Amino acid sequence: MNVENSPFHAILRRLSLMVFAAALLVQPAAAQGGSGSGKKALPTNTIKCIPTASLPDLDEIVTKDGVLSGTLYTVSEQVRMTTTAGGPCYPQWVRAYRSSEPASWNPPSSTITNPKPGPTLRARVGDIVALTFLNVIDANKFPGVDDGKCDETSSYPGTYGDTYPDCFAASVYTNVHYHGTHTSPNTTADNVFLNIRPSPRKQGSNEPEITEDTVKDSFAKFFEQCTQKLTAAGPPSMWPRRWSDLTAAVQKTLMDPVETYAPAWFVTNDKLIKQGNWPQYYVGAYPYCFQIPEYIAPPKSTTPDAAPTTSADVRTPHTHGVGSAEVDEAADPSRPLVMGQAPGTHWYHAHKHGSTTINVLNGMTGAFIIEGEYDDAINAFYGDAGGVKWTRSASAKTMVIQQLGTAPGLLVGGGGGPGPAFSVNGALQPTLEMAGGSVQMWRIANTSGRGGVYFPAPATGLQWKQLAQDGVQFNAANYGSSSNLNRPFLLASGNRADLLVKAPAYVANGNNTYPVLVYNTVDQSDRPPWKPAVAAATLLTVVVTSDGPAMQFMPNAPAFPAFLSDIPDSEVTGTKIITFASSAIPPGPPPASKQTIDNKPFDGELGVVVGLNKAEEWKILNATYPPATGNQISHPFHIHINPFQVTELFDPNAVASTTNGAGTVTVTMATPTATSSTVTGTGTSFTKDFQVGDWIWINGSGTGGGAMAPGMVLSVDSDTSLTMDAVPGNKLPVTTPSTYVAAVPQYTINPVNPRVGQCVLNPNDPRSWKPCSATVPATNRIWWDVFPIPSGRTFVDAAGKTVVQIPGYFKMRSRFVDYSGYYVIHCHILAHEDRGMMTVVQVAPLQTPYSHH
Amino acid sequence: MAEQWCITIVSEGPSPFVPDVYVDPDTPAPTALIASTGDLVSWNNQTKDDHDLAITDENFEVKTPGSSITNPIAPWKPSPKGYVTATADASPVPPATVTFPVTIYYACTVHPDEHGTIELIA
Repeated sequence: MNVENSPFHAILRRLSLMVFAAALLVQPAAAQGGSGSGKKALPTNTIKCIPTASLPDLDEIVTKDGVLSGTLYTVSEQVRMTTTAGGPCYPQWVRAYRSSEPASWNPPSSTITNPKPGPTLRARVGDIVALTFLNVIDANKFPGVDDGKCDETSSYPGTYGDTYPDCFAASVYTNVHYHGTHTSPNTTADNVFLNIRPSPRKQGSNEPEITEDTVKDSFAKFFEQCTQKLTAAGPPSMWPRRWSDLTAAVQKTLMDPVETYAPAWFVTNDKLIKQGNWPQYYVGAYPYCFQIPEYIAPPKSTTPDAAPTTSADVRTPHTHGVGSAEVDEAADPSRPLVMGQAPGTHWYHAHKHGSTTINVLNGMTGAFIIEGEYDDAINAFYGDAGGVKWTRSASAKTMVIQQLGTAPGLLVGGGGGPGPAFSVNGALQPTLEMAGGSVQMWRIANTSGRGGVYFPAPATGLQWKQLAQDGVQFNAANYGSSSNLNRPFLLASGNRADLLVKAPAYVANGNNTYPVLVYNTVDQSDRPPWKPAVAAATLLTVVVTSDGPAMQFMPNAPAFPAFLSDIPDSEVTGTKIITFASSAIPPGPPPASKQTIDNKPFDGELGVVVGLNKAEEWKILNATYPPATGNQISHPFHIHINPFQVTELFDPNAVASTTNGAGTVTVTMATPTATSSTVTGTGTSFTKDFQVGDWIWINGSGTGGGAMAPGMVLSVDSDTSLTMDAVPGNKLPVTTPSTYVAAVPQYTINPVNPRVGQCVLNPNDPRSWKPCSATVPATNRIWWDVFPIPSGRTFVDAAGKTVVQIPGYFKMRSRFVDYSGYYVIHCHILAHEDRGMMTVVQVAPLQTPYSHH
Repeated sequence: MAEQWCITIVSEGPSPFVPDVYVDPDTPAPTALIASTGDLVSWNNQTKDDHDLAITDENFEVKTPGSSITNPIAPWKPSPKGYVTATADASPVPPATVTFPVTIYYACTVHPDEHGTIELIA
């Protein structure tokens, strides 16, 4: 059935028209709001929203004959931007990824479209990626940039304390990060050190000087050579490895524009080349070419340790020889692939340090679906749909979640804040049709630059089972676990999840809509039960149209590749401790803050060195201590190239138990800058409910709006009066009597009579700062490439004085295998990354150039 | 969430400053940018001359000499500095007493006869 012409759509269209007509009736009044008789009518800068009722489809660049070939344009275009469901819409210029050339280089002002993510890249493990990247943003549509300087507005950098290179900078310069790929981090692969500025424009016609036509012949030869080299050598080979690997013609295509349009960059590139390094700076165009490595287990008959079933059996590559082995180790044909690319839902986005936030905010993200045996198994169970493999059919939905906007708060004198509402494929709160009883596969990527998307359990009737996390499939135990049915889950910025979703039966003459609700959260304290009054928002709505053929969840997970087996203790050869921190720059408060890793903002210096093909365990600490309870930040840790498993989790803000309080409370604060608030109860029993150090979660809102943030109890004065810490932003007082929850923290520093379920931390002994019970499973660990680091906690005494600050942390294990080179770890709250919370990882070849004696 | 706007500087036409915003095909181009307080504005110089913009009074007299809101804009380039709209020069947060719309007047300090306005509606 053509869904666009279905009766349901006709109804939706009518409803949309009615809503729109109502908006038209309201809008002029709103636009003239405040214009009483005799006052000047207010003009408007909004335009008509043209909402997309159904989940929009995405453009795709699809692999063919083992090569993902195409052109990825970075363009500027005018879109109907809205940051809240229901509008209003503003005509806004944005930077965007597109799969085809713009219709005009000088579009008339009536040209506008709805925002949408970049084209979905769809490849298969083993393929070669050969993408022409063109930066044809019309830089003049945006504030100008100066090399080596922070972007400047009348508010920024101002007093924020940001300094180059850890600031918003060069907003039209960009590149591509292939998030979730296990491939080379170097040269023309997942190299985020690249900096590609827009092609200059011709005066008058506004046509870019560098277009697909100007590079296609040279790039075609390069891609042909690259494909041949990578295919012949097989993974984990890397090519090109050196600038000299390129033909003179390709070198000229890439460097001539730099010499012409960015001479200072040319000098730097020339220096890098002479040092034997890969040049970093380009103008207008770049050829991305790399392999998505397929793991092939060696035959048992010839290799004793073939077909590993545990990671201890995963082959350890041997190295031999001396001399040039350091350089060529990864090209050693005798070196086997250790990990391989996990097939699944990955994504790509702009990742040039300094412009990542604004580019991703504009929408420069897209899905990167890498197919493999995982898909084959799903297709084998569900069969083809209309001659199309099920995972490529209308039953498989790719959902790119974004937070879209144009001006980051810091650029205009504001703060971070929760950011815009979540869109899906560019649309706010779209609908998704499902036949009653049918099953769909949802590939969900949270590509927003800040917000974590917390999915509570689905609406009654709707069911889901998670198939994969961060593009890595669940094994049989995790998929088959009873807790995997309708489990709530969090997608921090950068996380993905594959779900099988089953629709309930169609209800004749009944309600057949099932909203999928989410919370915008960077920490557990952003949502209930910590903030009881925070309401979930609708991400999308499933509409059951009619009963279809009854479908079931796959009974068993797709076969689990051996290279994804758990990393046991015996495989770990090194450990590291790495500390992420946001800290206020006195006199504070944030966003005048420093964003650091190991107390150092990003400057290109090496932060971590690991030997190639070693597995390590890292303790990732979050030493961010909010000034008061309720502003916690769980920085989403992200590492490129290799996924990891979490082996230990310590959340000093964990909760032991909660009790609904009796009666109601109101809250007052002596002055706007007071450090404490008075909670007054009616019908309450505070002396029974609370001890000093407990938390009170109030189901109310301050007079300035917004849910009341959680507070820490500083003193219990009577059954009807207590003192709690003040929380900036609460806009107290809370004058409407509100219900509350008494929460007992799991961790206390008071060794006297700890409460049931509490564990005591010794403030003077950091060795005690760890979980008091198992927090993650010992086996069947899930693979991630983004994981939120639990926020640190400030423990105070009854006077509100800080006793100790204890960091949250998790431990992760990863195999740093197959590909040597430089890449990064960073916070996936991208404003933190741009402002310094990033460092360089070097995975160094094991073999030195030297012989033993 | 603030919006970001662009104004094109042109050498021909009734005004040197043309808002680069969506316009219905049958609607005349606006002469003033309409924005909200705290929005970000840049200028796209599509002329062969340098320009440098400053806030003025309603007679397009520069209020504070030397107080560029854009820094010098080279020919065929965007303004190197973005302007955050404000009802008062120093504060992007409108005082409660402000009655909208508020007109922001600005002029080119290189070409004082070239001037434009921004209408703040919130």
